[in-house]
Amino acid sequence: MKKDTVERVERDIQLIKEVIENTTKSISELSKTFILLGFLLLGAGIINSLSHLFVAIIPETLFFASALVFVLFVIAGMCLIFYKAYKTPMMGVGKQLIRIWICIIIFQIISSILNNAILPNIFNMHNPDNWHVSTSLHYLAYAVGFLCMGVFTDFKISNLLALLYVVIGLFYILPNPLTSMKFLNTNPSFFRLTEIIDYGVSLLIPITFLMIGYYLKIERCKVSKREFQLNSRDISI
Amino acid sequence: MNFNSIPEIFQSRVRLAIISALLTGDKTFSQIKGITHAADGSLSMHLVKLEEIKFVSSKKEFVAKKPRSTYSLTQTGKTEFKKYVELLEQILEGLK
Repeated sequence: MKKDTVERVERDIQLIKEVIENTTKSISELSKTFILLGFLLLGAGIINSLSHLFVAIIPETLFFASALVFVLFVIAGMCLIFYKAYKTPMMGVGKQLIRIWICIIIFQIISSILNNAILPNIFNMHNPDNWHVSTSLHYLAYAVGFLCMGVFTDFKISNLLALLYVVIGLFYILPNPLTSMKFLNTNPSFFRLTEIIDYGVSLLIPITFLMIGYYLKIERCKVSKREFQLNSRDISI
Repeated sequence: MNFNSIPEIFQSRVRLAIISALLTGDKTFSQIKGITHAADGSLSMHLVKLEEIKFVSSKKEFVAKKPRSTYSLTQTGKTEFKKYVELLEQILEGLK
């Protein structure tokens, strides 16, 4: 009798644990994707900054080769991450959010190639306005992604990030002394200041992804603990 | 404390799996089916029973002209499930 009861209790606990683990895996996998994406963008940003620093001393052809390697590195890395995320059995909100982020990243890659390679080199369009519009769209697209996350999940921080990225997007497109004068002002110290702002803002993207990834990971644990508030080692998840 | 004091509603493994699955968020019928591996008829029966005792609530809508039911755990369901898990704990504690 006692043995039967123990077996049944343990079987029920095991079942509850398994179901909860399988159903929370979606959010867990989403957090892994964000962390991987954050590290990838951070690495790519460092490579990009270094190649710009050494542009004065390395031959131009080598610089373009390194830029091409950088673009291929980012595309290959992202394909790998999304393939991994897509192959993982996800469901519900997690899966929809991954789809939204895939669309946003594809948009970013296409607009980057269009504005940095096709427009200036093939159509000879070097208008500074292109840079303003593309940079602004770049950040507004991230804002859309974070807004979707905020709407579909309970992660309030995502809405705040969306707001931050809207402000950055507007900063680049609306007339203001730091961006509008960038291409007209010849003062080297002023140009350096705007470059520092650009690098600072571009570093914000990988940091945001890493932050979101770790936040989702921690939040998942908090949700599990809050829902059960159990002391038993057998069932704590 | 023994297993006979367990509410009848938690004595089915399918119902237990449904409630555990809904604890982590709303799910559609097909998602619950994928988690519980129960047959359509059996799953419907258990979901109806859980709805009747107000443990679960459902929302029916049409997505791309196809009906879709989404189920969520009610506050009553959450509270009762928590009590049940605590009961399991007590039973284990009592047997040690």
